[in-house]
Amino acid sequence: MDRRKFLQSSLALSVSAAAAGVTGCRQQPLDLEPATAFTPGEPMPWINWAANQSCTPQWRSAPASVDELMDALQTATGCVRAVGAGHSFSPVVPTDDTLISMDLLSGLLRHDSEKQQATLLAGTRMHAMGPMLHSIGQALPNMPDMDYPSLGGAITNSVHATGTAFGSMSSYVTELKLATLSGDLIECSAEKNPEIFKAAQTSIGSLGIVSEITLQNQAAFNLTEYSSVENLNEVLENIEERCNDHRHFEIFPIPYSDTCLTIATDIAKPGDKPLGEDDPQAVNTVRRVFDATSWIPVVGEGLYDRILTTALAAEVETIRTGPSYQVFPHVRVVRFREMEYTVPAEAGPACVREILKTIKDKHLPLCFPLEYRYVKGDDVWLSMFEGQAGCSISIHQFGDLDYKTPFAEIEPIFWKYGGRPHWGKIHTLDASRLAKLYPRHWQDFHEVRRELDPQGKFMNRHLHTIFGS
Amino acid sequence: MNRPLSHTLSPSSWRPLPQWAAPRWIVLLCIATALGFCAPLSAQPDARQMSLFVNNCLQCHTRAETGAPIIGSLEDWREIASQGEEAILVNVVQGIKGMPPLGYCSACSEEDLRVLLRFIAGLPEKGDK
Repeated sequence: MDRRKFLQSSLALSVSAAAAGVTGCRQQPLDLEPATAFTPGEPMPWINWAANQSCTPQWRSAPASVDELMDALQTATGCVRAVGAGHSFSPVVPTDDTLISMDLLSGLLRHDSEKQQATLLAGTRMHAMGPMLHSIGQALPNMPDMDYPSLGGAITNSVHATGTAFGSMSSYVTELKLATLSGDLIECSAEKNPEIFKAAQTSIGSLGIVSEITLQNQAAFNLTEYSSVENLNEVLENIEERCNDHRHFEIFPIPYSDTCLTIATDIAKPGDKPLGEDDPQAVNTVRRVFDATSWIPVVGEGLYDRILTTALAAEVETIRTGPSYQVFPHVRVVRFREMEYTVPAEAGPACVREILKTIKDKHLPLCFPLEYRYVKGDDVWLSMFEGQAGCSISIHQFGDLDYKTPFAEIEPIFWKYGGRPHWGKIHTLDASRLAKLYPRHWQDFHEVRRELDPQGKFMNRHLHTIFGS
Repeated sequence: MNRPLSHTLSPSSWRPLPQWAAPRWIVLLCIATALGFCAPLSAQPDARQMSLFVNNCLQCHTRAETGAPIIGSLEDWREIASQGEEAILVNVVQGIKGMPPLGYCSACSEEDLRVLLRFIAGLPEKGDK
């Protein structure tokens, strides 16, 4: 019996025994209209993956070469934004004027086998990068747990994975080319135009459009990933040791439960074999258990925890093994909205405990598992990990439920711990507050930005909010 | 001068897929060949649209674990196809269930999406019976 069937049967037995025939008062899904309704023959909107951001740009361009990208920038009118896969939850993309899609700027341009470096076009999707790099004997040292984003989008928003010895995607960039509105294609690296390089490694698309990216990779390797169900407090009490024991380690704490899912990933050993299956719909099962039990007065939360613990504990661990680019990413097909902040690494356990306590104490309608990861510090000016190792904690809500109210209750907890918001995820901070979170290089970044885009043509409404004028 | 999408995405703007993509082309040709035997395939994506297909559609519609209907599977597409092209197009643009808005393809025009959905779902060209 797989995990889903076990959970479903446990749910059916427990709920029917506990509360047959009683109507619940759980949060009902919102009767959501599409982010932007589309009528064939009318101008087509752009809508992000989470369907919480949209726009109908007057002009759209999809350059298929760097020359075409430069041409597009020369003819662009109004606010210019670039888009990759559209996986950001924050409004970094919407523009009513010019939207430049990077879809066709995809592919491996060249590589250096000695240095283990490869140069790719910025529109290359991460799901395509793995096989591309594998074909030249290289692999990314680390990868996010889903591979839908484009490389350019991942870099400009400082996308990251987990692992105390590994930095964000931006930190693996050794060179890049930046196409600007003045018609320049600026080559930059630690040696060449170093200030532009440090700004462009994470710029939220405010300096120009990154066309090519050179990554520091390593020789291709295999991984084995172990998923287990554990007690959250026990895991947090030994978190440093757990992280040190594995190449990558992360936790998915489950609200209203002492249970969590842990994922430990290490270099594969000879004889490692897969066991069980990854279940992309597992969060929907958790939701059904939550919906069926949480409304029950007094005993509901306890019942939920007991069902989850019993059902999940009975499930043997899941093991996935293979080439790194196949093991790092997971299928994500359940639509959700996400807020993520990175707090100083040492503050992680206290912060996540306070978040879980707040969800429980305030009865917030959040049952989607949180995500808890560690990332090495770096020197990228606007990286969430600039100057310090970080613990990134993500809060999710199902795509058809209200996220603004529960997120508003949680966000101040992140502020209390000095958290920096993920640029591509939901947050409410403005320039005045963000500047205080980046005391070393906030002004440096904006000097470069004003030099490269003096008229602020890459600034949409959201960027004006987070960067100021 | 700014160009509307339909002009920017003219056939002259496509470029050959990079070398890495060759294995996927082989897969793609096999899929198309298989479709030719099992579905009324009449859509003819051009090379640019094939690039968009490889970058976007392929990542889900060839992987059963995503839950997406699989290209070439008549059973997967029967109920969807019965909704008709206009309704499917609206769902593609707005997104539905696990299907992301625009099928991830921000470069796709309405015509691109029509050609690709005919190709993937085995729908007839408009006007065909």
